[in-house]
Amino acid sequence: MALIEVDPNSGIVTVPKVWIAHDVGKCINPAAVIGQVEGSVYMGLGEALMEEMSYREDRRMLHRMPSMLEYKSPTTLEMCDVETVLVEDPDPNGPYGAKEVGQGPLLPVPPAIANAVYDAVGVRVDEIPITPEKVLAAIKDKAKGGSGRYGPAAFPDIPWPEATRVKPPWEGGDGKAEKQAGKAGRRKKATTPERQH
Amino acid sequence: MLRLPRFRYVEPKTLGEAMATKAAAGAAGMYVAGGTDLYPNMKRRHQEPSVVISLSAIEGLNSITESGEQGAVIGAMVTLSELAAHPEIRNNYTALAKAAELVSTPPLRNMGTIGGNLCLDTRCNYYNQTYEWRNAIDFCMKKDGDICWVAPSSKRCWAVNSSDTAPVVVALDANMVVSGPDARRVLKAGEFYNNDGIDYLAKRPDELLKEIVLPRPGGWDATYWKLRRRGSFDFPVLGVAVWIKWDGDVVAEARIVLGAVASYPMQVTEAAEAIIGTRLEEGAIANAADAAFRPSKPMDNTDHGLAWRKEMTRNYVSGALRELRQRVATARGTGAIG
Repeated sequence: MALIEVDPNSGIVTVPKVWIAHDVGKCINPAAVIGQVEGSVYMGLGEALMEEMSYREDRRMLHRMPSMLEYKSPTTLEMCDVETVLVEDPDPNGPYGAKEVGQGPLLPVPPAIANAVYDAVGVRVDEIPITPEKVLAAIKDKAKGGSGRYGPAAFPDIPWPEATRVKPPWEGGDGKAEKQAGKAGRRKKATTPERQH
Repeated sequence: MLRLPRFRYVEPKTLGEAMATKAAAGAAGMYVAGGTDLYPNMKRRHQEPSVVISLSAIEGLNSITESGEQGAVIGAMVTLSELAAHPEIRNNYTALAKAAELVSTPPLRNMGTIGGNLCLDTRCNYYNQTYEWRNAIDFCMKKDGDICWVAPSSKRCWAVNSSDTAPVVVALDANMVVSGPDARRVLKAGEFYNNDGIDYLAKRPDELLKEIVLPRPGGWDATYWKLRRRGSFDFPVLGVAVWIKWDGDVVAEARIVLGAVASYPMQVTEAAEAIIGTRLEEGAIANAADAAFRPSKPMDNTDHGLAWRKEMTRNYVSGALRELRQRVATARGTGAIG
């Protein structure tokens, strides 16, 4: 859950505080685990608000701004307060009952911030980073009677390959994939969905 | 890792000696003050001097003095940290102290100087990159190439004046004292800058910015607002400096200067005219914001989208004017907001 402030005149979003609960299985060193969770919140905050891999338009895989000054990530001034709740539900398969506390706590941060933006100003930014430009565009769209959404209008139509199925040993599986009959030629070409705005 | 090229470093003790060294080195010689801009630029081969002439050992360039008739005189080698912390500057020239405080990070302000910040090389996303990256897209006209990647049909370079202190000294109408091999010149801050990304200073390469003379305090107020993505480190994507001479709570004279939207700190006279004779009522502020918005034409060569930056001109001009209105009301003890 994120506490945020949005300036409706500029679209600038600031995040004073994030509350986060993470099931770590069994916590051996609480200080280290909380530190790991806070680090993930930091990374999530950067992803949510500013970090962006942008390439030159000709797509020759050349970064537009290949420097740590222009690849913006939060500084100590942007970092929010974090209140961490460690949930301990031991995993019998993990060492001492431990699960993970790697990047798991990173995942809920961008949606929490996106939801908080919606709660604050009633607009949905459907892609990250949630920049002031996008928030302001969505606010203006909503004021004009639009949907107040910014981002892709639909999930990309991806030509997923058929799933590979491997039978488990107790069903007689030998570790090899099952043969797939008559499934070839069903791939569709990917299409880029229309964008809102 | 980017490495500095080889160069000879000299530390003259007097201005005369510095100029003689520069004259001997010719175009291969460059002056350095704090070095926070020049050295990283040398690593990316933006400037390639073979002789770097430091100004750090020259006496008399690193003090802030008051000189009777004039206001404060700031030596060009005063660091941004010293300037921002100086009691006299904080009291009488809050806008300049604030601008200095908003430059980059504490370590860079401890090294960087007011002279260096005022003479800051113009910046551009297509220029402030490594040699290899610039080579990959082909060099731009500011260094080694012929094209402007921001506006490919342009004959001029659109690199941005990204100094925080420059719009403030222009708004304060400070005098820039420039020492040359032949003579000393005094330029108005507004004449010190050209709207050209390559030839951005009226100062010749063999001249030195020696000191900045500020107007006497009293009867006027000024402020500076800086827009950037993060609260530290980043260069401005928009700066707004406003100077107002008050007649009671009526605006007698005004200057509004935009930073980081052109190759020079841009005075928007129409915006200033919109508030003269007013008490900064909301209507007057809206007129000034509109008048500043129109000529504000940022290019797509800094952080943030250019349309958004242009739009923020309105917000920042309004915000700066409301701050000054609040301050004059508080100073007059009325607390009223026009």
